[in-house]
Amino acid sequence: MPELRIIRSYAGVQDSHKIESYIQRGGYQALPKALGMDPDDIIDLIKRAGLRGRGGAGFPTGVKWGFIQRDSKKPIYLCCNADESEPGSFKDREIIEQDPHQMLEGIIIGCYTINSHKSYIYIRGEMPYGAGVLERALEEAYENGYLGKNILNSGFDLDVVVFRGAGAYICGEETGLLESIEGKNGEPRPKPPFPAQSGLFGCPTIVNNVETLAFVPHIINRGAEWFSEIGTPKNTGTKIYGLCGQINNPGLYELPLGIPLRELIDEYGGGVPGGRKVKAVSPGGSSAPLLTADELDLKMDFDTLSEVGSMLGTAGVTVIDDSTCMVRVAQNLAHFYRDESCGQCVQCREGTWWLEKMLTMIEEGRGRMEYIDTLLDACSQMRGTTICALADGCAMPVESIVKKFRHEFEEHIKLGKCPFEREHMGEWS
Amino acid sequence: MPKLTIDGKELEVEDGLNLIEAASRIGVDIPHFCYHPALSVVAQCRQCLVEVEGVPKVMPACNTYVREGLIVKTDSERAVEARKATVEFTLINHPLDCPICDKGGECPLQKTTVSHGPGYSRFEGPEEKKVRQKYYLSDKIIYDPNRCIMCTRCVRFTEEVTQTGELGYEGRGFRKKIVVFPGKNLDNELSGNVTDLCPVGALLNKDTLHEERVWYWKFTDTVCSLCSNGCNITVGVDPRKGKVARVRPRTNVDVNDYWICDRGRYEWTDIQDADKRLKDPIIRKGEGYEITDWEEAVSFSATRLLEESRKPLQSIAFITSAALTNEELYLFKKLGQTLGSSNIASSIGLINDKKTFGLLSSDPYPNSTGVKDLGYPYGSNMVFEVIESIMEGKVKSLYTAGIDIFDFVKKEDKPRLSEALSNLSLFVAQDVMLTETLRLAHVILPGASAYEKDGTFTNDRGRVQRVRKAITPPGTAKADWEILLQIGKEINETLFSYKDPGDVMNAIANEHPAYGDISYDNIGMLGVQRSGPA
Ligand SMILES: Cc1cc2nc3c(=O)[nH]c(=O)nc-3n(C[C@H](O)[C@H](O)[C@H](O)COP(=O)(O)O)c2cc1C
Ligand code: SF4
Ligand code: SF4
Ligand code: SF4
Ligand code: FES
Repeated sequence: MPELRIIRSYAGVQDSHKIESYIQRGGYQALPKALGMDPDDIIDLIKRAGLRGRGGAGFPTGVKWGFIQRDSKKPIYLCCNADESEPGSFKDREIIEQDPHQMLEGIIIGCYTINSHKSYIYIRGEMPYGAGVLERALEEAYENGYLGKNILNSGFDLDVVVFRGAGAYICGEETGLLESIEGKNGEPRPKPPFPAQSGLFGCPTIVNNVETLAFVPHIINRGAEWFSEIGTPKNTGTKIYGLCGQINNPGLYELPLGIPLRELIDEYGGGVPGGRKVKAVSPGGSSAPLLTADELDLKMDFDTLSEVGSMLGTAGVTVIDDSTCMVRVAQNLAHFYRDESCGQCVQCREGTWWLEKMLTMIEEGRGRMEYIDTLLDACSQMRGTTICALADGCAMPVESIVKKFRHEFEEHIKLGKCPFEREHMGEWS
Repeated sequence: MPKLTIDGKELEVEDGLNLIEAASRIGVDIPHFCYHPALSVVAQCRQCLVEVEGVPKVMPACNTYVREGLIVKTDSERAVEARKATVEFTLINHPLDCPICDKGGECPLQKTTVSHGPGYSRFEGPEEKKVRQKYYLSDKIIYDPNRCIMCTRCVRFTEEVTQTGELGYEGRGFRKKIVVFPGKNLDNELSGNVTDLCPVGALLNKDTLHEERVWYWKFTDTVCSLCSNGCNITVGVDPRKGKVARVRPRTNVDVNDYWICDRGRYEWTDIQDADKRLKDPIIRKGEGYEITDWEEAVSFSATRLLEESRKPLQSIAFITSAALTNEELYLFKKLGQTLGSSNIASSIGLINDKKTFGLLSSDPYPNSTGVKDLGYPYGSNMVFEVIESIMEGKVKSLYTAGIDIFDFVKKEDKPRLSEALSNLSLFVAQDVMLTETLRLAHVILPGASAYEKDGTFTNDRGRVQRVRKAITPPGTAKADWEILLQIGKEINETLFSYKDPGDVMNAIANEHPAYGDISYDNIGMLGVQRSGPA
């Protein structure tokens, strides 16, 4: 089965990042159309299309745009979240590098809709190549009259700037991102107020993911009905799924929301290598609770996964086969979040540290049985008690691993060592 | 005025209050570390979690504001468990070295742990805790990153209150620590306040480091005497040493908010230096000096003052300063008037001058307003005039209290003043330390500092505030009011029949309409505004 490519029309196209290529593929046709529309109608269209944010939470984009008070006396900002730092997620990067104009067209339409005249693309610091591509794309867009003053003679002005992050996962969290643009430490803000009321420099702000914005021109071009018929009724459109980990064909696949996980792994990913079996799957980036081999028939959409206590997140799927130690997986995750916690909230700053410590002790054969329940308890108190969702992002997968693979933890503790071969697992600092 | 319910109790409060403040109105104490009424709300410590009906998550009370119909539960199982967990997380990497921590005994973290914590830790192996070096943030303040709970109060203080921005943090997550920005020093005039703001023993004063356990200290609520602002303070006295160990701000939003300046906090050590203090009365006998007792000193002074006043061409001068309390100024003036002096003066500072951070005034006296209010011919001119007549030999006898008149003459005039003072037929001087002036006196009367006596000062905005005795003066030294009263009684028993400073205040109230309503009963802990313009 081929992919259903809406965004990934660039795949395999020579010089797809250039403006000519984008125009050739039908690009910048939505913009004049949108500029002739009433912003309320655009919001309505996006709502009817059912577009949900692709940054992780699946929040309806039209509803979010509707929160902006468009006649605000303060400037209004749209920030494109291109910080993609979630382990296992690499979809935005490809859009940025291969087809920057697609997201740019989405940004321009979004700005027009919310009456914003300045937009920031916040790109992850470790993507210098993508930042260069974006810079060139901006130049092309200005040259062609898609940016700057009086865009396509509509009277609408817009400037877009690329802002490079400095290497912090937490700057992908929308208010951490805003702080970072303001030149401060990337530390999420307590909410309320929400960015739509008081965001960048205290002004009304929308933060949208790259993929979310890339869908916008297509919906303008082809209509809400067309989009809403793809996927499932409440999870419309396609999604770029990432496949990585112990899988034969890692990569990106654009498919309708709601395709079964098993199909994704077996048909598109070609199954796990070496004839081994799937043991666990992280379905949506490192923050998503893990699924077991028994849960592969689940549909890959926001609602289905959330019903079973996991989440679609970024749809970056990491496949883990039966040669892998799950304690080590949990330890690896906790280690990442421990290093990336901004350190404001105690549950997160100390919790991630504590989880990592306990998991390391178990992995190294120094753990005790009580640790298992302590781990679960700590995870449960890290969820929903902090400023942002990073603490949840650590607690949820770790908790799911402890619950679903408890026997592995017990085995480690009983044996006083890790029962798995470790040669292929490198050390980390 | 929204109505809400907290722990089943209904209350009506003004808009804009957060739940910590609202709950405190009905005596419900929601523990908190990062929230401080004078600082922005950051909701970082997560210690104030409460349950709000209809909201799925526990909410930080500091960042949740009162609303009509809000139903808040601070005592539900979920809220209690969440706060208990917060304590446990907070203590994971905390050294728990309370026994050797100066904050022990007055530590919000310690208190919160006892009242809201789990009472045990499931964290094993203290050897696993992260341990980091302590370092100084300034020559007065030491920082212990291991104890720091990252509430960022100290950082916000330098950002928002002093707006000097010396402090920031370095690192992320568990590596985070408080640092002084490169190229800056934590040397603003209010810097010491971060040690009070710190809810743990992460910021400590070097001067009292490991001096004494705080629970042995005795605390007295009084007022700072080092400038005309009159900041409300609490003085901690180490009873073993009988000395002030620490000065801390006492909240008074009409005077000093939550703060005091570093001068008020650290620069009272001189007064405590026993070597520098006068301890007993001294009388000049011939060429030498002799230590004496109060009976002799008082009767000598009184007798001689009376004699001088009865001389046909008498010219007694009385000079004091705004360092004295209202009661002392009143007694001093009355003494002068009783003895028929026409040269009564007091030095004052520049009132209502610009203040540093709205506190520290350039007027170094605590009671310049009192001097004016009590009808002293004021202004530095007046003191200069009297000193001028001393130098011209027009003044035959002199009584000074709390003033070194050499400070008021130019260097080249000092020999002239020395000579004039040596030629006086009587010179009574009262002060806390030996000064150039006192060396030439016939009688030296050792007085008391503001930490050692009772009385009132009127600050530069006309607020009458109580100073209270926190320690006893060294040796047999006495409060200045007591000395003046004793001499006064010798001179005229009925005119000086006051029992104590409170009694003197009643007299002030009778004679000075601006003080008409004021008595020690109604000054209270925070002082009262006297009537009339500030
Ligand atoms: C710790 C953390 C990291 C995040 N990182 C990203 C990111 O790299 N990219 C992104 O688009 N959203 C990220 N998010 C989600 C954003 O906060 C925000 O929800 C999203 O950008 C909204 O865009 P959307 O409505 O288009 O999905 C992150 C959230 C958290 C809590
Ligand atoms: S949850 Fe973690 S990352 Fe998020 S604000 Fe709190 S400490 Fe920072
Ligand atoms: S040093 Fe004290 S006041 Fe400063 S952040 Fe740490 S705990 Fe808070
Ligand atoms: S501002 Fe003045 S009154 Fe206040 S503490 Fe400093 S010296 Fe004392
Ligand atoms: S006091 Fe509310 S989070 Fe710190």
